[in-house]
Amino acid sequence: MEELPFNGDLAGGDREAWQRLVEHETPTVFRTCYRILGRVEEAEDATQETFLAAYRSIGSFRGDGPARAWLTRIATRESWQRAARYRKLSAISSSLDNDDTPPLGDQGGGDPLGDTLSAEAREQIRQAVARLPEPYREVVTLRYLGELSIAEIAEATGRRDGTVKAQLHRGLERLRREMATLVPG
Amino acid sequence: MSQRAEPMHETLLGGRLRTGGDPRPISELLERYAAATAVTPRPDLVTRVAASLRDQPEATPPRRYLWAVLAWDVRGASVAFGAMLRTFAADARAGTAVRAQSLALIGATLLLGAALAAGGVAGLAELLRRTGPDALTPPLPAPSLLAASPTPTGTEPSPGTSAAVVVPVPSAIASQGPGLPDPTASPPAGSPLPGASAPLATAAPVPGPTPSPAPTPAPTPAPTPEAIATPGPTPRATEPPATARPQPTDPPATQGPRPTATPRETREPDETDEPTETEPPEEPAATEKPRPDRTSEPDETDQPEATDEPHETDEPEPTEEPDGDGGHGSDGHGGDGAWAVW
Repeated sequence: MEELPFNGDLAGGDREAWQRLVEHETPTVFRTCYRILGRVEEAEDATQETFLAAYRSIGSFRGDGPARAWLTRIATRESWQRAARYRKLSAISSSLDNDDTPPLGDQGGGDPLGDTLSAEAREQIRQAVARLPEPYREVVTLRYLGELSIAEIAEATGRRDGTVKAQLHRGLERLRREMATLVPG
Repeated sequence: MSQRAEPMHETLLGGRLRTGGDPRPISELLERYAAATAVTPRPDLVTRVAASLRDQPEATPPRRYLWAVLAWDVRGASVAFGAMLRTFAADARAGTAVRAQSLALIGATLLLGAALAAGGVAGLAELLRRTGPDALTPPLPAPSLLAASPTPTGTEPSPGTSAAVVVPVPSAIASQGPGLPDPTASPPAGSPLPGASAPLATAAPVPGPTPSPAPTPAPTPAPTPEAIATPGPTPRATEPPATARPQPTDPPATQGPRPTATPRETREPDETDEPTETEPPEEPAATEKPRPDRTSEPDETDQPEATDEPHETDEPEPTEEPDGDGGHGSDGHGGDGAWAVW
Protein backbone atom coordinates (compact mmCIF):
# COMPACT_ATOMS: atom_id res chain seq x y z
CA MET A 1 0.00 0.00 0.00
CA GLU A 2 1.21 3.45 -0.76
CA GLU A 3 2.75 5.14 2.21
CA LEU A 4 1.34 8.45 3.27
CA PRO A 5 4.31 10.55 4.24
CA PHE A 6 4.04 12.49 7.39
CA ASN A 7 2.72 15.92 6.75
CA GLY A 8 3.59 18.75 9.02
CA ASP A 9 0.01 19.91 8.83
CA LEU A 10 -0.98 17.04 11.06
CA ALA A 11 0.92 18.54 13.95
CA GLY A 12 -0.82 21.82 13.42
CA GLY A 13 -4.22 20.16 13.59
CA ASP A 14 -5.06 20.65 9.93
CA ARG A 15 -8.47 19.00 9.45
CA GLU A 16 -7.91 18.13 5.82
CA ALA A 17 -4.59 16.50 6.55
CA TRP A 18 -6.18 14.36 9.22
CA GLN A 19 -9.04 13.47 6.91
CA ARG A 20 -6.56 12.23 4.33
CA LEU A 21 -4.72 10.24 6.94
CA VAL A 22 -7.93 8.58 8.14
CA GLU A 23 -9.01 7.63 4.64
CA HIS A 24 -5.62 6.24 3.81
CA GLU A 25 -4.72 4.36 6.98
CA THR A 26 -8.04 3.19 8.39
CA PRO A 27 -7.98 -0.21 6.62
CA THR A 28 -4.48 -0.97 7.88
CA VAL A 29 -5.29 0.09 11.41
CA PHE A 30 -8.53 -1.85 11.40
CA ARG A 31 -6.83 -5.05 10.23
CA THR A 32 -4.24 -4.80 12.95
CA CYS A 33 -6.89 -4.28 15.59
CA TYR A 34 -8.99 -7.08 14.25
CA ARG A 35 -6.10 -9.55 14.32
CA ILE A 36 -5.49 -8.77 17.94
CA LEU A 37 -9.07 -8.60 19.14
CA GLY A 38 -10.81 -11.03 16.84
CA ARG A 39 -14.09 -9.12 16.86
CA VAL A 40 -15.28 -6.63 14.31
CA GLU A 41 -17.03 -4.33 16.75
CA GLU A 42 -14.08 -4.23 19.07
CA ALA A 43 -11.73 -3.66 16.18
CA GLU A 44 -13.80 -0.74 14.93
CA ASP A 45 -13.85 0.87 18.34
CA ALA A 46 -10.14 0.30 18.68
CA THR A 47 -9.56 1.87 15.28
CA GLN A 48 -11.46 4.97 16.27
CA GLU A 49 -9.59 5.22 19.57
CA THR A 50 -6.33 4.80 17.73
CA PHE A 51 -6.92 7.85 15.60
CA LEU A 52 -8.11 9.87 18.56
CA ALA A 53 -5.03 8.92 20.52
CA ALA A 54 -2.86 9.82 17.57
CA TYR A 55 -4.59 13.16 17.27
CA ARG A 56 -3.95 13.92 20.93
CA SER A 57 -0.38 12.73 20.94
CA ILE A 58 0.75 14.06 17.62
CA GLY A 59 3.51 15.83 19.52
CA SER A 60 5.13 12.50 20.32
CA PHE A 61 5.46 11.62 16.64
CA ARG A 62 9.02 12.10 15.45
CA GLY A 63 7.79 13.09 12.03
CA ASP A 64 10.81 11.68 10.24
CA GLY A 65 8.95 8.92 8.40
CA PRO A 66 5.61 7.62 7.28
CA ALA A 67 2.81 7.76 9.77
CA ARG A 68 1.72 4.17 9.22
CA ALA A 69 4.27 2.62 11.55
CA TRP A 70 3.47 5.19 14.21
CA LEU A 71 -0.26 4.59 13.84
CA THR A 72 0.19 0.82 13.85
CA ARG A 73 2.10 0.97 17.08
CA ILE A 74 -0.66 3.03 18.66
CA ALA A 75 -3.20 0.57 17.33
CA THR A 76 -1.42 -2.43 18.83
CA ARG A 77 -1.22 -0.77 22.22
CA GLU A 78 -4.84 0.22 22.15
CA SER A 79 -5.90 -3.23 21.05
CA TRP A 80 -3.88 -5.08 23.68
CA GLN A 81 -5.23 -2.79 26.34
CA ARG A 82 -8.70 -3.49 25.13
CA ALA A 83 -8.03 -7.19 25.15
CA ALA A 84 -6.67 -7.01 28.67
CA ARG A 85 -9.78 -5.23 29.80
CA TYR A 86 -11.73 -8.33 29.16
CA ARG A 87 -9.33 -10.24 31.34
CA LYS A 88 -10.05 -13.35 29.38
CA LEU A 89 -9.23 -13.52 25.75
CA SER A 90 -11.31 -16.60 25.54
CA ALA A 91 -14.29 -14.53 26.59
CA ILE A 92 -13.58 -12.13 23.77
CA SER A 93 -13.40 -14.91 21.25
CA SER A 94 -16.29 -16.84 22.72
CA SER A 95 -18.47 -15.28 20.09
CA LEU A 96 -15.86 -15.96 17.47
CA ASP A 97 -18.25 -18.07 15.53
CA ASN A 98 -20.52 -15.11 15.08
CA ASP A 99 -17.96 -12.38 14.45
CA ASP A 100 -14.91 -14.05 13.03
CA THR A 101 -16.12 -13.84 9.50
CA PRO A 102 -14.82 -10.81 7.71
CA PRO A 103 -17.42 -8.12 7.26
CA LEU A 104 -16.61 -7.49 3.62
CA GLY A 105 -14.90 -9.76 1.14
CA ASP A 106 -11.23 -9.46 0.45
CA GLN A 107 -10.33 -12.39 2.62
CA GLY A 108 -7.18 -14.41 2.60
CA GLY A 109 -5.25 -12.40 0.06
CA GLY A 110 -4.81 -15.45 -2.12
CA ASP A 111 -3.21 -17.64 0.53
CA PRO A 112 -4.53 -21.13 -0.10
CA LEU A 113 -3.74 -22.20 3.45
CA GLY A 114 -5.45 -19.24 4.97
CA ASP A 115 -8.80 -20.91 4.91
CA THR A 116 -7.45 -23.88 6.77
CA LEU A 117 -7.06 -21.83 9.97
CA SER A 118 -10.10 -22.55 12.00
CA ALA A 119 -11.60 -20.16 14.46
CA GLU A 120 -10.10 -22.24 17.25
CA ALA A 121 -6.65 -22.04 15.77
CA ARG A 122 -6.94 -18.29 15.42
CA GLU A 123 -7.98 -17.97 19.01
CA GLN A 124 -5.04 -20.04 20.15
CA ILE A 125 -2.65 -17.89 18.17
CA ARG A 126 -4.08 -14.73 19.67
CA GLN A 127 -3.82 -16.16 23.15
CA ALA A 128 -0.27 -17.32 22.62
CA VAL A 129 0.81 -13.92 21.35
CA ALA A 130 -1.03 -12.18 24.16
CA ARG A 131 0.93 -14.19 26.71
CA LEU A 132 4.28 -13.06 25.32
CA PRO A 133 6.13 -10.64 27.56
CA GLU A 134 7.19 -7.25 26.34
CA PRO A 135 8.97 -6.28 24.19
CA TYR A 136 8.56 -9.55 22.34
CA ARG A 137 4.83 -9.22 22.06
CA GLU A 138 5.11 -5.74 20.62
CA VAL A 139 7.68 -6.75 18.04
CA VAL A 140 5.86 -9.91 17.00
CA THR A 141 2.60 -8.03 16.77
CA LEU A 142 4.03 -5.21 14.72
CA ARG A 143 5.81 -7.61 12.40
CA TYR A 144 3.08 -10.19 11.72
CA LEU A 145 -0.20 -8.60 12.77
CA GLY A 146 0.73 -5.07 11.76
CA GLU A 147 2.64 -6.18 8.68
CA LEU A 148 5.51 -3.82 9.29
CA SER A 149 9.03 -4.42 8.11
CA ILE A 150 12.00 -4.66 10.43
CA ALA A 151 13.08 -1.17 9.44
CA GLU A 152 9.64 0.24 10.10
CA ILE A 153 9.49 -1.41 13.50
CA ALA A 154 12.90 -0.06 14.34
CA GLU A 155 11.82 3.38 13.30
CA ALA A 156 8.55 3.26 15.19
CA THR A 157 10.06 1.91 18.38
CA GLY A 158 13.30 3.82 18.24
CA ARG A 159 15.38 0.65 18.40
CA ARG A 160 18.12 -0.62 16.17
CA ASP A 161 17.41 -3.08 13.43
CA GLY A 162 19.59 -5.67 15.09
CA THR A 163 17.74 -5.24 18.34
CA VAL A 164 14.43 -5.67 16.59
CA LYS A 165 15.64 -8.79 14.83
CA ALA A 166 16.92 -10.30 18.05
CA GLN A 167 13.73 -9.50 19.89
CA LEU A 168 11.68 -10.92 17.05
CA HIS A 169 13.69 -14.13 17.03
CA ARG A 170 13.37 -14.54 20.78
CA GLY A 171 9.70 -13.74 20.59
CA LEU A 172 9.13 -16.42 18.02
CA GLU A 173 11.17 -18.81 20.11
CA ARG A 174 9.01 -18.12 23.12
CA LEU A 175 5.93 -18.39 20.99
CA ARG A 176 7.05 -21.75 19.73
CA ARG A 177 7.48 -23.02 23.29
CA GLU A 178 4.16 -21.48 24.22
CA MET A 179 2.44 -23.20 21.36
CA ALA A 180 4.22 -26.45 22.11
CA THR A 181 2.78 -26.51 25.60
CA LEU A 182 -0.65 -26.50 24.08
CA VAL A 183 0.09 -29.79 22.44
CA PRO A 184 -0.08 -32.77 24.80
CA GLY A 185 2.84 -35.16 24.87
CA MET B 1 -7.20 -25.92 25.09
CA SER B 2 -4.86 -28.75 24.38
CA GLN B 3 -7.56 -30.55 22.54
CA ARG B 4 -8.00 -27.56 20.32
CA ALA B 5 -4.30 -27.23 19.68
CA GLU B 6 -3.78 -30.70 18.42
CA PRO B 7 -5.66 -30.36 15.18
CA MET B 8 -4.06 -27.03 14.40
CA HIS B 9 -0.52 -28.27 14.74
CA GLU B 10 -1.18 -31.54 13.07
CA THR B 11 -2.93 -30.06 10.11
CA LEU B 12 -0.92 -26.91 9.57
CA LEU B 13 2.51 -27.59 10.96
CA GLY B 14 2.71 -31.34 11.00
CA GLY B 15 3.96 -31.41 14.57
CA ARG B 16 7.07 -29.37 13.81
CA LEU B 17 6.40 -27.14 16.77
CA ARG B 18 6.98 -29.96 19.20
CA THR B 19 10.28 -31.17 17.88
CA GLY B 20 12.26 -28.44 16.20
CA GLY B 21 13.83 -25.35 17.72
CA ASP B 22 13.44 -23.44 14.49
CA PRO B 23 10.98 -20.58 14.84
CA ARG B 24 10.19 -20.62 11.14
CA PRO B 25 7.09 -22.78 11.60
CA ILE B 26 5.73 -20.22 13.99
CA SER B 27 6.60 -17.48 11.55
CA GLU B 28 4.74 -19.31 8.82
CA LEU B 29 1.80 -19.86 11.11
CA LEU B 30 1.63 -16.16 11.94
CA GLU B 31 1.83 -15.24 8.28
CA ARG B 32 -1.04 -17.57 7.53
CA TYR B 33 -2.99 -16.10 10.39
CA ALA B 34 -2.40 -12.60 9.01
CA ALA B 35 -3.49 -13.71 5.56
CA ALA B 36 -6.62 -15.36 6.92
CA THR B 37 -7.59 -12.20 8.79
CA ALA B 38 -6.84 -9.69 6.07
CA VAL B 39 -10.24 -8.12 6.27
CA THR B 40 -11.43 -4.77 5.07
CA PRO B 41 -13.45 -2.48 7.28
CA ARG B 42 -16.97 -1.37 6.63
CA PRO B 43 -17.14 1.73 4.47
CA ASP B 44 -18.79 3.74 7.19
CA LEU B 45 -15.83 3.23 9.50
CA VAL B 46 -13.83 5.94 7.77
CA THR B 47 -16.73 8.34 8.08
CA ARG B 48 -17.19 7.43 11.71
CA VAL B 49 -13.53 7.96 12.56
CA ALA B 50 -13.38 11.22 10.65
CA ALA B 51 -16.45 12.46 12.44
CA SER B 52 -14.98 11.63 15.82
CA LEU B 53 -11.86 13.55 14.93
CA ARG B 54 -13.94 16.45 13.77
CA ASP B 55 -15.63 16.56 17.14
CA GLN B 56 -12.34 16.78 18.89
CA PRO B 57 -11.33 20.25 20.04
CA GLU B 58 -8.57 21.89 18.18
CA ALA B 59 -5.22 20.56 19.22
CA THR B 60 -3.74 23.79 20.47
CA PRO B 61 -0.39 23.65 22.26
CA PRO B 62 -1.96 24.05 25.72
CA ARG B 63 -4.40 21.22 25.02
CA ARG B 64 -1.68 19.02 23.65
CA TYR B 65 0.37 19.74 26.72
CA LEU B 66 -2.47 18.78 29.04
CA TRP B 67 -3.23 15.65 27.05
CA ALA B 68 0.40 14.63 27.18
CA VAL B 69 0.64 15.27 30.90
CA LEU B 70 -2.52 13.30 31.58
CA ALA B 71 -1.17 10.47 29.43
CA TRP B 72 2.24 10.61 31.17
CA ASP B 73 3.79 11.25 27.78
CA VAL B 74 7.01 12.99 28.66
CA ARG B 75 8.12 13.47 25.10
CA GLY B 76 4.77 14.82 24.01
CA ALA B 77 4.64 17.10 27.03
CA SER B 78 8.07 18.50 26.34
CA VAL B 79 7.22 19.08 22.70
CA ALA B 80 3.96 20.74 23.63
CA PHE B 81 5.74 22.86 26.21
CA GLY B 82 8.09 24.10 23.55
CA ALA B 83 5.14 24.81 21.31
CA MET B 84 3.52 26.79 24.10
CA LEU B 85 6.65 28.84 24.54
CA ARG B 86 6.76 29.58 20.84
CA THR B 87 3.07 30.38 20.81
CA PHE B 88 3.37 32.79 23.66
CA ALA B 89 6.56 34.41 22.52
CA ALA B 90 6.47 34.59 18.78
CA ASP B 91 3.24 33.33 17.31
CA ALA B 92 1.27 36.39 16.43
CA ARG B 93 -1.39 34.32 14.72
CA ALA B 94 -2.35 32.57 17.92
CA GLY B 95 -5.43 33.87 19.60
CA THR B 96 -5.34 35.75 22.83
CA ALA B 97 -6.98 32.88 24.65
CA VAL B 98 -4.42 30.40 23.46
CA ARG B 99 -1.58 32.69 24.42
CA ALA B 100 -3.10 33.28 27.83
CA GLN B 101 -3.53 29.55 28.31
CA SER B 102 0.05 29.00 27.28
CA LEU B 103 1.28 31.61 29.71
CA ALA B 104 -0.77 30.14 32.54
CA LEU B 105 0.44 26.62 31.90
CA ILE B 106 4.03 27.74 31.55
CA GLY B 107 3.81 29.60 34.83
CA ALA B 108 2.13 26.72 36.58
CA THR B 109 4.73 24.32 35.29
CA LEU B 110 7.60 26.52 36.38
CA LEU B 111 6.08 27.09 39.80
CA LEU B 112 5.49 23.40 40.26
CA GLY B 113 9.01 22.63 39.20
CA ALA B 114 10.43 25.25 41.53
CA ALA B 115 8.34 23.94 44.41
CA LEU B 116 9.49 20.41 43.79
CA ALA B 117 13.09 21.53 43.58
CA ALA B 118 12.84 23.54 46.77
CA GLY B 119 11.21 20.65 48.53
CA GLY B 120 13.91 18.32 47.39
CA VAL B 121 16.66 20.67 48.53
CA ALA B 122 15.00 21.20 51.89
CA GLY B 123 14.59 17.50 52.38
CA LEU B 124 18.17 16.87 51.46
CA ALA B 125 19.36 19.59 53.81
CA GLU B 126 17.30 18.15 56.60
CA LEU B 127 18.68 14.73 55.93
CA LEU B 128 22.21 16.02 55.98
CA ARG B 129 21.59 17.94 59.17
CA ARG B 130 20.34 14.82 60.87
CA THR B 131 23.15 12.68 59.68
CA GLY B 132 25.83 15.33 60.27
CA PRO B 133 25.99 15.20 64.08
CA ASP B 134 26.12 11.45 64.03
CA ALA B 135 29.09 11.55 61.77
CA LEU B 136 30.85 13.99 64.06
CA THR B 137 30.25 12.10 67.25
CA PRO B 138 32.54 9.16 66.60
CA PRO B 139 35.81 11.07 66.72
CA LEU B 140 35.07 12.70 70.05
CA PRO B 141 32.72 11.86 72.83
CA ALA B 142 29.35 13.08 71.79
CA PRO B 143 28.26 14.53 75.11
CA SER B 144 31.19 16.84 75.45
CA LEU B 145 30.70 18.21 71.99
CA LEU B 146 27.06 18.80 72.49
CA ALA B 147 27.62 20.32 75.85
CA ALA B 148 30.18 22.74 74.60
CA SER B 149 27.99 24.13 71.90
CA PRO B 150 24.97 24.82 74.04
CA THR B 151 26.91 26.55 76.76
CA PRO B 152 27.49 29.72 74.86
CA THR B 153 24.21 29.87 73.10
CA GLY B 154 22.12 28.35 75.76
CA THR B 155 20.19 26.16 73.40
CA GLU B 156 21.35 23.18 71.43
CA PRO B 157 19.65 23.48 68.09
CA SER B 158 20.45 27.02 67.11
CA PRO B 159 23.37 26.64 64.76
CA GLY B 160 24.19 30.28 64.41
CA THR B 161 24.63 30.87 68.09
CA SER B 162 26.45 27.68 68.65
CA ALA B 163 28.98 28.58 66.05
CA ALA B 164 30.72 31.08 68.25
CA VAL B 165 31.04 28.91 71.27
CA VAL B 166 31.19 25.66 69.47
CA VAL B 167 34.38 26.69 67.90
CA PRO B 168 36.33 25.08 70.66
CA VAL B 169 34.75 21.74 70.03
CA PRO B 170 35.38 21.71 66.33
CA SER B 171 38.88 22.76 67.05
CA ALA B 172 39.23 19.83 69.32
CA ILE B 173 37.82 17.56 66.67
CA ALA B 174 39.79 19.06 63.92
CA SER B 175 42.88 19.08 66.01
CA GLN B 176 43.05 15.35 65.64
CA GLY B 177 43.04 15.47 61.89
CA PRO B 178 42.78 18.81 60.15
CA GLY B 179 44.25 21.95 61.56
CA LEU B 180 42.31 25.09 60.87
CA PRO B 181 41.24 25.77 64.41
CA ASP B 182 44.24 24.16 65.87
CA PRO B 183 46.85 26.15 64.09
CA THR B 184 46.39 28.89 66.57
CA ALA B 185 46.66 26.62 69.51
CA SER B 186 48.83 23.91 68.11
CA PRO B 187 51.98 25.87 67.38
CA PRO B 188 52.86 26.28 71.00
CA ALA B 189 51.69 22.83 71.91
CA GLY B 190 54.71 20.87 72.80
CA SER B 191 53.01 17.51 72.94
CA PRO B 192 52.92 17.31 76.67
CA LEU B 193 50.81 14.19 76.73
CA PRO B 194 51.89 11.29 74.62
CA GLY B 195 48.57 9.50 74.58
CA ALA B 196 46.47 12.29 73.16
CA SER B 197 47.84 13.28 69.82
CA ALA B 198 46.31 16.55 68.77
CA PRO B 199 44.07 17.50 71.62
CA LEU B 200 46.82 17.12 74.06
CA ALA B 201 48.98 19.35 72.03
CA THR B 202 46.33 21.96 72.10
CA ALA B 203 45.94 21.55 75.79
CA ALA B 204 49.56 22.03 76.50
CA PRO B 205 49.68 25.51 75.12
CA VAL B 206 46.69 26.55 77.12
CA PRO B 207 48.43 26.63 80.39
CA GLY B 208 50.97 29.11 79.18
CA PRO B 209 48.61 31.98 78.66
CA THR B 210 45.99 30.95 81.18
CA PRO B 211 47.98 30.81 84.35
CA SER B 212 46.37 33.95 85.59
CA PRO B 213 42.81 32.65 85.32
CA ALA B 214 43.74 29.43 86.98
CA PRO B 215 44.37 30.97 90.33
CA THR B 216 41.15 32.90 90.28
CA PRO B 217 38.96 29.87 89.99
CA ALA B 218 40.91 28.06 92.61
CA PRO B 219 39.49 30.00 95.50
CA THR B 220 35.91 29.29 94.57
CA PRO B 221 36.18 25.53 94.54
CA ALA B 222 34.38 25.25 97.80
CA PRO B 223 31.38 23.57 96.19
CA THR B 224 31.46 20.06 94.91
CA PRO B 225 34.31 19.22 92.59
CA GLU B 226 31.93 18.06 89.95
CA ALA B 227 30.51 21.45 89.38
CA ILE B 228 33.91 22.85 89.07
CA ALA B 229 34.94 21.23 85.89
CA THR B 230 33.20 22.93 83.03
CA PRO B 231 33.00 26.51 84.10
CA GLY B 232 36.73 26.90 84.13
CA PRO B 233 37.26 26.85 80.41
CA THR B 234 34.16 28.68 79.37
CA PRO B 235 34.62 31.75 81.51
CA ARG B 236 38.18 32.00 80.51
CA ALA B 237 37.33 31.88 76.92
CA THR B 238 34.72 34.56 77.16
CA GLU B 239 35.89 37.01 79.72
CA PRO B 240 37.76 35.61 82.61
CA PRO B 241 36.89 38.04 85.30
CA ALA B 242 33.59 39.63 84.50
CA THR B 243 31.44 37.29 82.52
CA ALA B 244 32.63 34.05 83.90
CA ARG B 245 31.90 34.82 87.48
CA PRO B 246 28.42 36.16 87.04
CA GLN B 247 27.47 32.97 85.33
CA PRO B 248 28.55 30.81 88.19
CA THR B 249 26.40 32.89 90.47
CA ASP B 250 23.34 31.91 88.53
CA PRO B 251 24.20 28.30 88.10
CA PRO B 252 24.81 27.59 91.75
CA ALA B 253 21.15 27.66 92.48
CA THR B 254 20.58 25.25 89.69
CA GLN B 255 23.68 23.35 90.50
CA GLY B 256 22.19 22.32 93.76
CA PRO B 257 19.92 19.80 92.11
CA ARG B 258 22.46 18.89 89.55
CA PRO B 259 24.97 17.41 91.89
CA THR B 260 22.50 14.64 92.35
CA ALA B 261 23.04 13.74 88.77
CA THR B 262 26.37 12.04 88.85
CA PRO B 263 27.48 12.38 85.22
CA ARG B 264 29.38 15.55 84.73
CA GLU B 265 28.84 15.65 81.01
CA THR B 266 25.12 15.81 81.27
CA ARG B 267 25.28 18.59 83.73
CA GLU B 268 27.46 20.68 81.58
CA PRO B 269 24.85 21.47 79.02
CA ASP B 270 22.47 22.44 81.74
CA GLU B 271 24.89 24.74 83.31
CA THR B 272 25.64 26.33 80.07
CA ASP B 273 21.99 26.73 79.42
CA GLU B 274 21.35 28.45 82.66
CA PRO B 275 23.90 31.14 82.28
CA THR B 276 22.63 31.90 78.88
CA GLU B 277 19.16 32.22 80.18
CA THR B 278 20.11 34.51 82.97
CA GLU B 279 22.36 36.70 80.93
CA PRO B 280 21.77 36.23 77.28
CA PRO B 281 23.21 39.53 76.19
CA GLU B 282 26.44 39.07 78.05
CA GLU B 283 27.06 35.66 76.70
CA PRO B 284 26.88 36.52 73.09
CA ALA B 285 29.39 39.20 73.68
CA ALA B 286 31.48 36.78 75.57
CA THR B 287 31.18 34.25 72.86
CA GLU B 288 32.04 36.73 70.23
CA LYS B 289 35.02 37.90 72.10
CA PRO B 290 36.50 34.48 72.45
CA ARG B 291 37.34 34.26 68.83
CA PRO B 292 39.37 37.40 68.78
CA ASP B 293 40.77 36.23 72.05
CA ARG B 294 41.46 32.93 70.49
CA THR B 295 43.52 34.52 67.90
CA SER B 296 45.37 36.34 70.59
CA GLU B 297 44.99 33.57 73.09
CA PRO B 298 43.66 30.64 71.21
CA ASP B 299 44.69 28.05 73.71
CA GLU B 300 42.85 29.48 76.60
CA THR B 301 39.44 29.58 75.13
CA ASP B 302 39.14 26.63 72.91
CA GLN B 303 41.71 24.23 74.01
CA PRO B 304 40.70 23.79 77.58
CA GLU B 305 37.41 22.26 76.63
CA ALA B 306 38.79 20.14 73.89
CA THR B 307 41.69 18.96 75.89
CA ASP B 308 39.67 18.49 78.98
CA GLU B 309 38.36 15.15 78.05
CA PRO B 310 41.63 13.38 77.61
CA HIS B 311 43.27 15.01 80.61
CA GLU B 312 40.59 14.46 83.11
CA THR B 313 42.43 11.59 84.58
CA ASP B 314 45.48 13.65 85.30
CA GLU B 315 44.14 16.21 87.66
CA PRO B 316 40.61 17.08 86.98
CA GLU B 317 39.57 18.41 90.31
CA PRO B 318 42.13 21.10 90.75
CA THR B 319 41.27 22.57 87.46
CA GLU B 320 37.65 21.98 88.02
CA GLU B 321 37.57 23.95 91.17
CA PRO B 322 38.18 27.18 89.43
CA ASP B 323 35.76 26.11 86.80
CA GLY B 324 33.34 24.86 89.32
CA ASP B 325 31.95 28.32 89.40
CA GLY B 326 30.84 28.02 85.90
CA GLY B 327 29.86 24.47 85.23
CA HIS B 328 29.98 20.87 86.17
CA GLY B 329 30.23 18.49 83.36
CA SER B 330 32.27 18.29 80.27
CA ASP B 331 34.20 21.42 80.87
CA GLY B 332 35.41 19.88 84.03
CA HIS B 333 36.81 17.09 81.99
CA GLY B 334 38.49 19.29 79.50
CA GLY B 335 39.60 21.80 82.07
CA ASP B 336 41.04 19.01 84.07
CA GLY B 337 43.22 17.99 81.25
CA ALA B 338 44.47 21.46 80.58
CA TRP B 339 45.13 22.22 84.18
CA ALA B 340 46.63 18.87 84.69
CA VAL B 341 49.18 19.64 82.12
CA TRP B 342 50.01 22.66 84.08
